[in-house]
Amino acid sequence: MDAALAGLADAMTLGNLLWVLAGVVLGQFVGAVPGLNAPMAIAIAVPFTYALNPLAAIAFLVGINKGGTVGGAVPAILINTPGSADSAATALDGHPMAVAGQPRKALKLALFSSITGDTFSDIVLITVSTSLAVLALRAGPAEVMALMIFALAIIPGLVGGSMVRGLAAAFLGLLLSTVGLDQASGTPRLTFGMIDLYDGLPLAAVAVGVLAVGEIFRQIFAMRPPPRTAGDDGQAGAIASGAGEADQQLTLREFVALRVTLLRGAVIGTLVGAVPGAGSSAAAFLSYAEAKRRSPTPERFGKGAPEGVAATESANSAVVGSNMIPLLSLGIPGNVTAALILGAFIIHGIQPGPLLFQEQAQLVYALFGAMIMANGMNLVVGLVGLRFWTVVVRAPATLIYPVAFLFCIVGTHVVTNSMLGVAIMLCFGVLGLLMRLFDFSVVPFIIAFFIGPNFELAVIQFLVVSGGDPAFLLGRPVALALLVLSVLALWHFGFRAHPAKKSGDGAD
Amino acid sequence: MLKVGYGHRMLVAAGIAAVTMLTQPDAALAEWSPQRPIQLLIGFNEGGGADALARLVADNIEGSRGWTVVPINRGGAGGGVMATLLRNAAPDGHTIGMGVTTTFSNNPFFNEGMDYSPEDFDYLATIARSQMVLVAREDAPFDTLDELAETARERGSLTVAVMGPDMERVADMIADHYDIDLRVVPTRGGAEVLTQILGGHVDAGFNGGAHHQYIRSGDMKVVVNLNSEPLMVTPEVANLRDHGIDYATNIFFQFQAPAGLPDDVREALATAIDEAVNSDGVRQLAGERMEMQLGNLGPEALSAMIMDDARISARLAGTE
Amino acid sequence: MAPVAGPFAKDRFRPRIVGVVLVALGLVIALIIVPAQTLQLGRAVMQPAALPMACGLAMVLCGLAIVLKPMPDSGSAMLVPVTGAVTLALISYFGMRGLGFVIMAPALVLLMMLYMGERRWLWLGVGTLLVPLGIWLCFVVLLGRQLP
Repeated sequence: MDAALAGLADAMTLGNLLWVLAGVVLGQFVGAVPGLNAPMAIAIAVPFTYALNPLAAIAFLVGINKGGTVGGAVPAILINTPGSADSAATALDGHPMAVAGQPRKALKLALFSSITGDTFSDIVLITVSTSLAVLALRAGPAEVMALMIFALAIIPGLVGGSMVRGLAAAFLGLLLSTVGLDQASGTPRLTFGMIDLYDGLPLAAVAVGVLAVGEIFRQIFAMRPPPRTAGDDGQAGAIASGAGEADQQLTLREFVALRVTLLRGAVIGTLVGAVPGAGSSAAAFLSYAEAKRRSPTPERFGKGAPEGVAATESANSAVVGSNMIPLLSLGIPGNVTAALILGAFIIHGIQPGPLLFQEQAQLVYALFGAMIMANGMNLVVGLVGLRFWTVVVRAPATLIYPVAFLFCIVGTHVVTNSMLGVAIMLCFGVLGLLMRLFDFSVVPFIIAFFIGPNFELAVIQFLVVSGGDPAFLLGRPVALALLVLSVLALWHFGFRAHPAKKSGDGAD
Repeated sequence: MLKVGYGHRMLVAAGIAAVTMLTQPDAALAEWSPQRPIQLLIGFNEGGGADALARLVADNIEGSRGWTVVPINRGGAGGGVMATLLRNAAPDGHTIGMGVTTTFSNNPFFNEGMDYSPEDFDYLATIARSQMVLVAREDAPFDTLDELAETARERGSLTVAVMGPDMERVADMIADHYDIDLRVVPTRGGAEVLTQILGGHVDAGFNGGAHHQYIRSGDMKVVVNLNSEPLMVTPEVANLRDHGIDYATNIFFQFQAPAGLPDDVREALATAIDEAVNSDGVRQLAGERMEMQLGNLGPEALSAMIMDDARISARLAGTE
Repeated sequence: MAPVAGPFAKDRFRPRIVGVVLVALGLVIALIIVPAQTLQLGRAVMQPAALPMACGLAMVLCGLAIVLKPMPDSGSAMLVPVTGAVTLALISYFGMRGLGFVIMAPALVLLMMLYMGERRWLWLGVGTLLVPLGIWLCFVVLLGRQLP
């Protein structure tokens, strides 16, 4: 307890507060600019933190990380160009809300949902992280494999449009995720002899290409606005500007009405985030699927349902906090960002793992203090930021999309350190455009692409560990249940609900 | 074929380096200095411990020599991307690389499409050794490799998590030696090996450093040492040769340049890196924080070791 | 099935083409590309070719399903967007590689803004000068990174 108080006291200094603030501002900014993202900012920032004291350095990086998830919702909502798989689900309902004249309301909802999810997972982290980490360890290859099959089974049916086309997109994503050295055997696959592809197609280049550049291409070439009259500024993302101020308010009552959705999202995000290698980008969609399934009016999803935004944002932000659970208590990073932060911990002399709480308790509590501060800052900066971004997005579309495109090129070049990365990003931009023109949802594609490598490895691990014996699953009830649910979900989306959904879609 | 322990060589090399530095303090420094910034190609992505190590050495060289060293991250393909770029750079001392020994001694033989060989480089220095071990959960019914083999015979087979194809070959050697069935579980790396062991999903697994804290916390035990020297944390654990398996791993973080460096350039670079490697900052990061065994083999011993290991790799790759 | 399909065959023609393309793509992937670009291992729990080949075959099945039960899609025009996007991608890649960021970034933004019909000097100035300068200052000067 002394350590806890001393640690919190360590955290609450003006210097740390400023570092957290700097991190949050930077994180929200890079998250909001299409083509840039938080992992990129953290990778670049780590070497610059060598000179700082450990607490300030970690506070800064945690600030970037938390700011990034909040910022990531901004382009997804305003101009339909999510920067990462995590915020792809936010665009599904957030962008329609913005188009319907409630951009600021959608941003507010995303912000509050994000803070809710993040705070929830931080509380879990601070209170029961060790026991949850031990529980999460029991998720082995069977459970991870089953969870991924479940995610792959529900996502194509979830995002509207044709189930078959969604599945085709998912298989294409899975296929492209196998490019590079095979993780099991170390042999090259689909690399066409290029050593630069041995580590696979760069995640950032593919995500930016398909999600952001594909949409930018569509906006520039397919949605070319008619010649404008003098008064019309031609706003980006076809956002209607007519809605009154009242429509932009998010009342407390409205927000509280979403409490169940928010809580469920936070719990799903926290659980998925705590299992290393389970694919955190799937958490937002699992939460979205669950919200849609439980909704009395599932047909509103994809057309601007506030529950959709609340479900995804609370889940993907909860992942950020709960990724720290295996990281701190086991020293195991759950995703790229966590791996970067682990590197920073080690450089600053913090060894995450079973002894961390014994050996460096005070520092751990100082870190928790910094995380709490970051959440507060995120809220404040986010409220200022959403006004800022709604003003920025009032610039004409003729400026927004070209500039966003330039940022995508620069960002990809910075992450991949090569023009090959830029070339890959541009190719995937064209693919993203084609998919949009032919109604192949990019969401199943990107999710399958992200979880593909982990999925294949989990299948191989499962085959080895189980010795190829299906009876092995009987001893793994969670995995078995998830597999059964996957089959049910495919049946549900693919056969039963399909015609009804089509006629619903045909109505617009 | 017997391999010589590198411990002796390391001591000798360190001794020679120390003597040289004492007897001719300024000779090497005055010989050569770069005409433009030196590009340091780091064979790892940004943000990790290895990246930090490389950048710290670069900082130190800038501080002590006044040269400009520009770190460029070129991770991927187990260092293969860095090695390929380095091989194609001019051997004039303005391009050097930081990577790991097996990038040169193993990958060209086992991974198709690696367009370089160990002879394409001049090896300059090592920073530290990552000690490889086979670990198991504390409650596993075996403490030694012999007991592990016995358990495998009783149960029919055991599962072993590996970090990559290199360690898969070691598992095969152990299985062949004892004539047992070891089922190899591939993973994404050392951290996941530990997860699988702690979660009880596999019976044992290979690791190279991250396991130290679990040894100290009493959650895991070391079953066998894969190195020729005793381990830092648990020196009493036997190595593979003690069990009659003629193999030892050599994994160092190291610096190299394209082959064909002029002698004065190699000398100047090697000395500059050696001083940086022995600086307090690097010793603290590599030794205390990353828990690796410190030491610079020096150019000659490092080259000899890589060539020896390359011959073993060639032999193993040929028989596979 | 296909209750919403209109009475006009045109509605189904485009989806059918999409389905056929998907089948062809899947077949090329599964039968030509994957076997040529993967290794056959003597001993493996799962051959490296297994997953990519399964994906190719699954795409064939999805394509067949689309051919057999075509659903009308959005019917967006494609010739202009696709040629436009490919041209823009080629210009940006070769331009950035050949001329570098400093020359190409303003030119690229200018090209796109003009194409989109922007003629106001203020906005053109912001896009072509201010933004590239800001990016350059931030990444090159402040962070010491390389731009193309």
